[in-house]
Amino acid sequence: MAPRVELVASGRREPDQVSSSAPASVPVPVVVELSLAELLVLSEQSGGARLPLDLASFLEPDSDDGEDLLEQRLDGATPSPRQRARTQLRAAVDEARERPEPSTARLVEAGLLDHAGTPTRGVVSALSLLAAPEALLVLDLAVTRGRGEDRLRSWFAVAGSHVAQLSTASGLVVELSWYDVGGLPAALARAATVDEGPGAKDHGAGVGSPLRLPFELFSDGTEAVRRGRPDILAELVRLAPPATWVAGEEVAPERVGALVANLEEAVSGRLRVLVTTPEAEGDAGRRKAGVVSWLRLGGGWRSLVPLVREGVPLVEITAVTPRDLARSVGPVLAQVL
Amino acid sequence: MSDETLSVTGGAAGIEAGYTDISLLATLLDEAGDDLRHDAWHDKALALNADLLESSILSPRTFVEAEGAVVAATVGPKGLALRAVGLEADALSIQVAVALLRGSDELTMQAMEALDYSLGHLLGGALPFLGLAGLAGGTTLLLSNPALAAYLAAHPELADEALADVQGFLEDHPDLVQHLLNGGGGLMDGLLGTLPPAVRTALLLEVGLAPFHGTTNDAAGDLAGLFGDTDVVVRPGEGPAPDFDAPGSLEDLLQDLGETNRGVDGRIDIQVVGEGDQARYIVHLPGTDSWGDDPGDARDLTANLQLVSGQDTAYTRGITEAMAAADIPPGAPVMLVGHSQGGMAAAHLAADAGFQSTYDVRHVVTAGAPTAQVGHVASGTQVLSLENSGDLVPLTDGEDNPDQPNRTTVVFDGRTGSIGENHSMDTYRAGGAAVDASDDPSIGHVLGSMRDDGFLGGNSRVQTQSFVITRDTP
Repeated sequence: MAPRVELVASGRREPDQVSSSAPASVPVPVVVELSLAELLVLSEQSGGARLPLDLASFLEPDSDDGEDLLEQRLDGATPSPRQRARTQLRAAVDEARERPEPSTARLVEAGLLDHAGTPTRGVVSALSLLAAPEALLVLDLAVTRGRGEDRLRSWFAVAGSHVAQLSTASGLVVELSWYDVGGLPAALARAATVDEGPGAKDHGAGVGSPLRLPFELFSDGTEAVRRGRPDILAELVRLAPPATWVAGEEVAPERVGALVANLEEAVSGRLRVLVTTPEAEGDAGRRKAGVVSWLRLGGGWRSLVPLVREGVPLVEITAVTPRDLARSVGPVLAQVL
Repeated sequence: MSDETLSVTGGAAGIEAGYTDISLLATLLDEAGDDLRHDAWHDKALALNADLLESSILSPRTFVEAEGAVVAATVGPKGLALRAVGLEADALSIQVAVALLRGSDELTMQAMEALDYSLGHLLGGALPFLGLAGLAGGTTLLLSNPALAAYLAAHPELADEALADVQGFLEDHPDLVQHLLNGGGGLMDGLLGTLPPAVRTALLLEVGLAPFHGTTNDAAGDLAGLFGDTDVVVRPGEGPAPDFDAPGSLEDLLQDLGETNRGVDGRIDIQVVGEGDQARYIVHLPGTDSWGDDPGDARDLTANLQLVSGQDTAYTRGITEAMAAADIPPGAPVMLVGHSQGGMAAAHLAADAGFQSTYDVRHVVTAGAPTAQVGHVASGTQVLSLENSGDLVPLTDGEDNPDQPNRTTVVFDGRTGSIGENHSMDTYRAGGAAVDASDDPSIGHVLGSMRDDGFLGGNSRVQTQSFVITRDTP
């Protein structure tokens, strides 16, 4: 086993005082599920802390609720998804603004507000962190599982060694959590974990790993598959540089088309993490942002790594697990921070 | 103000108009290809009509020639049909290119939004940062957490203890702290609720989230802006080389690396300890916050933003060029010391068979560098990785670094109030001092081998050369 040594300090903050005398104290992680109304009440009670969710356009006075209602009446009794969404949002906002008592009571019961309605220190700090992070990781995930596309958005706000995370899959229900930065790899893994249900298989296993292929086959070749045009796919394969490899073995040209088709047919979702920090500057003084991109094949994830070899843009597609997300994000952080 | 006084060039609308034109052109090309393909088969059918077929009886040889010519001109390997597919392939490539540009622009806008959002930090933030704390006494809250509830259901003997003092209970059960974050299945599935996907999608749009779909072409759009690897130029550093002494300790090594780090962007230092056959080479590799000479992309939307994927190999290639320029003899004993990206580069080089066959890489020291993604390192190389438990960059979680006996990870607690300080060379130099002072046997073994190999603790003559690595952009 690889040696791992933990030198623990006494909680002192100055680098010169790093020592190995006593266990460090790190905050216990807190994870809580809130309704949008409860989150808005918390934000309001914390001095109007800015949230990454942007309700500004929805709340504009000239918001087109009236137009929606007219449209709904003209259309008949079945509201559109947008109309249903706006109705739900309106109810949540009204609950937070006009009738906050039930939300407040639940927040007191949960220990997030004291009996005077004042947010606890941890809540204020977490919302402060979400409002003004030193670094921000934005995770988006979308998967198709039969009935439609499910989506998750998570904001990971980091300052010092603290993380505050806000996540939602609908905008109406959120999970707010805060924890030490040491908990971030596990939190990223949890965000990348998708329940496929009992008996689900990683159908993407049919696509070998790592698969390295020219970027134009990844972009154009899969598009030809989506359009049902094997003739165009064959032409693209003929034109592409011979640079397709699976598990270190070069793929014969006559097998490349089938490989691209298998890849496209197995795709069931995508994940992306954007890494930003306001102080990051790249080459020539430009601002810098990092990107991690994964693709879901069947029931399993594949990391996507852009490479250039001998002038040819390539994509390397490698089987990964949710725990590997931190390994993908780490190098980006090193480049951005 | 009249319209004549306004002059607008570029901008999102201008670019979008260009995309639309290109897409239209591709559609025309596609239709032309479609028509051509149709015509090829139609012409073949027309050409091989009844009159021609009847002529085969009268002149079979001429018929064969005529038939061959018709087939060649229509559906043969250089015929119309194939050219039609070629046209359609071109059309598809143009359409995909436009989609990729749109995807890349969308990603850039998302990144700019995130950057602008986090600018609140530089402006002082909306609220005072008080320091996070767990909720002592928040029993109800913690018990409402499905992961904890499941854990306690599986361990009923712990329930009373938990109810009595949650904070103390969790501190006494660190496995449960991880369980709180790991447990309960995936995050998304717990938040979906009962609304149909279409309504959830509409809700997310209403709360300001841009559309995000799980398709290959969307993923390709993310990648399109990330092929930024460039050639490099390596030149000798200007001015006097740093006056390093032979390092006596890990702290000394990291102090020297800090000195390199304070130099110009892209500078690395190569220190020669001893002479002749006894020469040892220490390569100091700082992080690369900002280096190179990239003039930037001319397109307006991306001109102020550089997207990176963490996969840039330009720095690593520059290091090998600099080592060659320093005339380090093949097979010479080498130590690589790197911080952040420099540590990543050092670990990658140690795992590279070609690099290992050129030099005798005895030791690698990384500070604040993610190294878990680096594969197998040759057994003759000792890797010592220092990680500040409060540093975001290595993303320490206690299990990630590969399981090799020659890779030792030391985690120390050097928490400060900021990400930058947690990741700074000063913090890692202090961590190095703590490692020097440790009596841990694993640490003792690694530091002992550095001394035995002549990299630490000698009084030999030291010479240092500096090199500067810059990008060679067209």
